[in-house]
Amino acid sequence: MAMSPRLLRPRAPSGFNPKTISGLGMWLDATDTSSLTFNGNTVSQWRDLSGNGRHFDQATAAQQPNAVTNTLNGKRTLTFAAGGMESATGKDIARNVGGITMFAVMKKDTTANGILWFASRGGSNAAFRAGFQVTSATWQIGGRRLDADSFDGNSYSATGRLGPAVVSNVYDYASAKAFGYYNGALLVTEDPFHTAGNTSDTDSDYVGIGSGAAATNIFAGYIAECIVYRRSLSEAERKAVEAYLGRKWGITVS
Amino acid sequence: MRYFRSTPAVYASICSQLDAAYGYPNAETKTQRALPLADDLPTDAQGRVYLAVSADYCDYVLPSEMLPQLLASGAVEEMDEAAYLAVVPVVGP
Repeated sequence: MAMSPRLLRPRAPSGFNPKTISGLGMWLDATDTSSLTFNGNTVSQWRDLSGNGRHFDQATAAQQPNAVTNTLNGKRTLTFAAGGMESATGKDIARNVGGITMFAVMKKDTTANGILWFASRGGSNAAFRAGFQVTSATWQIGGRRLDADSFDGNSYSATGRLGPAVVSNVYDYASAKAFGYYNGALLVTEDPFHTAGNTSDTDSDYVGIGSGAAATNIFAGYIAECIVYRRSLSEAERKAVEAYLGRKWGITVS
Repeated sequence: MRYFRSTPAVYASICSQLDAAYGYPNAETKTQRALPLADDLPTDAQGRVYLAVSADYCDYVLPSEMLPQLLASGAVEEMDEAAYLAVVPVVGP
């Protein structure tokens, strides 16, 4: 009898830390109380645990996400309903890199348009370098490698895929490919994804989570954890992070 | 979400009242203001500012006390999402 694929699946060891994989660019974890600045029940700053200082802020009370306990697997998440957060110190996240690998644990309320995470250059939302959003009821991965490039991306249906889920996107600029995974399953590939090479050696104008600039395209749902590496992770590395997130948040990933 | 519009002067007055009541800006909570800056809000041809705010925020003690009078006086008008979206610029990659 063949061994079950479940037994062959890479398993993140207990105590797995995203820092053990090189290239960690930013790490937001709603369960880490020390990383949150509270304004009553809302959060004004979500600090980056990677050590790179790419913190996210929202200085307007009415647009701050709500910290809600016992949301997913008994843990706290941040609900984005009226705005998002911007990283003024994280604008280099997608600068001169051969890849970006983004992970998030999330649940979206509906298939209405909404941005989960993005880095853009050339005018607020209008020029994703790397981003992940629902648009026209599809989860869209895409961006630009060079500042002069046009947007390129691909998408998969968001119907029935609103979470809670572990979403992973690999923007492999060096190999001119991009991939989108939902609970570990590959759902979309963009090949080619621009021409091969590094991203432009320029900072992004805007790096945001939970909405676009000026509270546009609000995510409308919760985000539990978001991890971004500044390179394309290998399949084994990606599965290790997915396994860590799946175990932590009680989500089955393949 | 709930959607409102008012003149810039009324909006500025509401912001001032809320900021004073909540003690903004507050360095400890890293919160500068209660409501978005007027410059960040969409406006119409008459110069009125449009605000989208969560229903939860409207239920906070102070906004819930202020809103009925503001709406009754006509200083603030509430609208549906479609009317709001007709004014908000479409953005995207």
